[in-house]
Amino acid sequence: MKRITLILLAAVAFVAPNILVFQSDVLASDARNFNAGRIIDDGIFTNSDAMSVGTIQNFLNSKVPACDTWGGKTSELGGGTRAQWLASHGYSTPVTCLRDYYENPANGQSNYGTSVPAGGISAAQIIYNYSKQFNINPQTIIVTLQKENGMVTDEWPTPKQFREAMGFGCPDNTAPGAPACDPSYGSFSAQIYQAARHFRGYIDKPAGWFVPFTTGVNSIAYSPAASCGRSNVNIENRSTVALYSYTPYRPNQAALNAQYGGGDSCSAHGNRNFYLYFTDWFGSTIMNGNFLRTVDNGSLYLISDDMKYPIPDMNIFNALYPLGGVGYVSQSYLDSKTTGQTLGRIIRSPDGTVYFYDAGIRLSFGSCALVEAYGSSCGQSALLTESQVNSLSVGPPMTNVLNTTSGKSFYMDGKKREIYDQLALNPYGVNASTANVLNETALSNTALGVPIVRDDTYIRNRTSGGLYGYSSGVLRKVDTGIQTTTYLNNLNPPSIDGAGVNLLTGGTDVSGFIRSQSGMSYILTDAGKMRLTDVDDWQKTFVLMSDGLLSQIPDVGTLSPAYFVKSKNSGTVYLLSTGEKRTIQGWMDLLAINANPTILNLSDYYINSVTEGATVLSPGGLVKTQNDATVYMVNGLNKKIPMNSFNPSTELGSTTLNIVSDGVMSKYATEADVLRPTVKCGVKQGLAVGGKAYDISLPGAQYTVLSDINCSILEWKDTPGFFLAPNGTIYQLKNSQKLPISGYQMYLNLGGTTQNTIRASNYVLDMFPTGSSL
Amino acid sequence: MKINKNNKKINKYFLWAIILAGVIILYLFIAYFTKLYPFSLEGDSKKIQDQASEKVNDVNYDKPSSEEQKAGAEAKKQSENTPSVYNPPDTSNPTQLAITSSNQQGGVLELRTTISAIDDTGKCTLNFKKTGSSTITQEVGVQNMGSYSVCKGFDISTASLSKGDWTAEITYAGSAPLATISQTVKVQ
Repeated sequence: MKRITLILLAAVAFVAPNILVFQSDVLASDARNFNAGRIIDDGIFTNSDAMSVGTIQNFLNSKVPACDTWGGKTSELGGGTRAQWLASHGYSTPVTCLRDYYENPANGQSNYGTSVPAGGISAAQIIYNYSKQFNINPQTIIVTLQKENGMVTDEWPTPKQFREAMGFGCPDNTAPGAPACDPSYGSFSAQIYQAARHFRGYIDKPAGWFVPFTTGVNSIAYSPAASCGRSNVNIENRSTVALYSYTPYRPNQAALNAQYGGGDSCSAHGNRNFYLYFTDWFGSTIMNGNFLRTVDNGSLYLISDDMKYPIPDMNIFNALYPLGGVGYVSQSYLDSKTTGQTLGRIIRSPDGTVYFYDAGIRLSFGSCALVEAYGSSCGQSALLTESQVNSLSVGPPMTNVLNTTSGKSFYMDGKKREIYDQLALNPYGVNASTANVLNETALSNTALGVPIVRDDTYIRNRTSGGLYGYSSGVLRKVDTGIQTTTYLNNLNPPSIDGAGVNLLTGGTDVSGFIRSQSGMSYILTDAGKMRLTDVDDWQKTFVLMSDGLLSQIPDVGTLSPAYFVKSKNSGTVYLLSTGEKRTIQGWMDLLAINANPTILNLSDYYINSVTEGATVLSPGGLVKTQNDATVYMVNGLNKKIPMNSFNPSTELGSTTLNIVSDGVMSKYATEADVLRPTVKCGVKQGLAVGGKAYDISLPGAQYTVLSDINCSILEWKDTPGFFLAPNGTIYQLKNSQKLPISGYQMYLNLGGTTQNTIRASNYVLDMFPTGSSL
Repeated sequence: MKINKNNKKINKYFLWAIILAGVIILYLFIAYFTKLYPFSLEGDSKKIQDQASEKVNDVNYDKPSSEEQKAGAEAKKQSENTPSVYNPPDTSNPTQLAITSSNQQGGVLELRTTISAIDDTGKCTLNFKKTGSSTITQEVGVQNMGSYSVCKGFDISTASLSKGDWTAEITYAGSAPLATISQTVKVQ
């Protein structure tokens, strides 16, 4: 059981504090928050849309749940029961409470203690009608009813209270036998009418109304008793003017400390009670902001005295956040304000200082010329009240340069011009590093101007990410194919918004084939720019780029034909020649072309920019197609030599036969003559024997002219002295004849050595006539 | 038998546990809709409270508080204590005349007053003086404001005024006793 009790206590401990918190939420308002200069805001005081007849009636019902019609309860004013008090003061029961009261405004006849007269309308309807007629919040009227005569909460009001309901025409006087209320206004509807009419008059101050108070400094008494003194109050709005004009006293500190209580002998309660009742019954008297709209229309305005400035977007609203949130008022209240220009970023204080504002900060302008640099003018600035201006924090003075929290810099000269870098800005004589930093949205309504850039710079388009080169006043887009796949990707130039980039004068795009001002041609690799000695290999138009831009790309050497290139994304190696790329099928083929090859890695931009040519067949190799028995030896990169025997190719050292497609084969031109073992390389001619070429002349022989590549892979030897036949016979080669040698001693005697003796096939030996034996 | 006794004890505990769980579930249900702990965010609680205290046009349909009723009764008492019959202004009591505002706007110095009597037939006279400058004199009527009166406003063009301290002397003469006031007004 003890354990259960503990658990229950724990549960109570868990719940109870929260109930206490819940109760603390319904605390009443505090008179010490009373602001003598701003008792209520105009937007609230005049919001005639605040309540309907129904909600007024419901409210009146809620404040008197049960009317003491017969005065049965004890009188708060003494004298026994309420009925007894009424009788002793010349009244009778039944009484009629405000919630049940009806009156004909035309003649003042009511249902007090009797039935509803002809033309009678409810108190709620009367309040509503006059609130609409004079554009005064019905809540203002209800609260005034309560603070003047306590009628809203009264369970047993007297007829006198209805006649003097709003205290209108009832002079304040401390003298004995003071004058009572003026009977000219002696009906409930007349009281409501006059009070609402005067509130409106005090606000509008039409001709002939000499309202004793005004916005600004006023001297206000603490009490009707002159001895209580007066003090200055800086009244901030017309509604507060109206309240003081209706009840020309301010509460002293004792009255404020007493909340709803009495205070001291100099305490006046009227305006204090207005504040307390209004706050308790209808919420704050302060709009909590200067931004107003109606419930039905989303158009938002900044209210400043008698002006309303349309708010064009949420950026403006957010930038003025110290001015508070959005309040809802009647359309008539908004209509009473003169519509000013759409609110921009330039405001003016009553003392004439012009400010730029953002993020709740005001930054002063030093001259109207500087205001014009921000696309506005001193005359176009919206005039705010001193209070509104002061609610913004003080920032540093404005300059022609503005940095944004998004990392951009702008130079202002009537338009906002994005700054490339400080070097570009130097001619303007200002420094961006010390400029103010604000939200970019602060300039969202300022026209965009041409960016401030400098010659021979790369520029990144912040919007698209594209790279541009700028020189001689012309902006040229760099081909997207080389922006990220070459050294250019290492550049990290300052960015400029796309809209600004579009305002720069554009020129021809920069391709990957670049020509310098001095006439040199380049392509770009990962490491830098590669100079080309022969632009014909690419068959491309080379685009001029300034030396200033080119100098920012390092030199990585010179490229001479024939190039071997490959894509960074593929293993395929190509031979690049005369605007074509030709696939090299194997490493040996590559070595056949160049025994010490260099392969250049390029972006696909370059690889894809040239057309695909014929696959490279290994020079010196033997090829045939599937459908044709003819065998050819590949001669160079573009020709093939037909063969009528394998003997010549064998002597040239070519033994491997490859089958190739008809398409590839067709790309190679066929030489007119068949392949012979007697070959010519340039000025040299000789005989191929066992894979090498020997300086041997054969009278009357025909020669096969080999390509340079074939020649380069063919080893040339001096004329041999001796042939060693397959059968072991040794011949001396002399005068284009072969002379058999009878014995080894003779061979030695003739000078035979392994160095000047070569093995020769019968096919070769048969080419030489046989002479006499030695 | 012993075993049976233990079972009864267990059942009793079980019943209490059910009740406790019910209380907690009921609380959580209420707390969820009323944003009590644990459904209220501790850090935001003050902000929410602040916002609630600043609500505009938040009509309170609760019964009036005792303080409200008491203050209402006091207002009723004062109302009932004044005579029902309308009397003319009390000529035995001194009239209080006050300069309530002296603001310059739009090139005009506006002097405004209150008169503690009800009158709409009297007159107010202003003598606006400064050493070395000509005295400016204006006379206007009196306007009944319901519970007090005002002089019908003294508007002086600032173009005709030199900067500095001026003395405004205003005199009321009408159905209530004569009253006068003298006050320094700074012209800027």
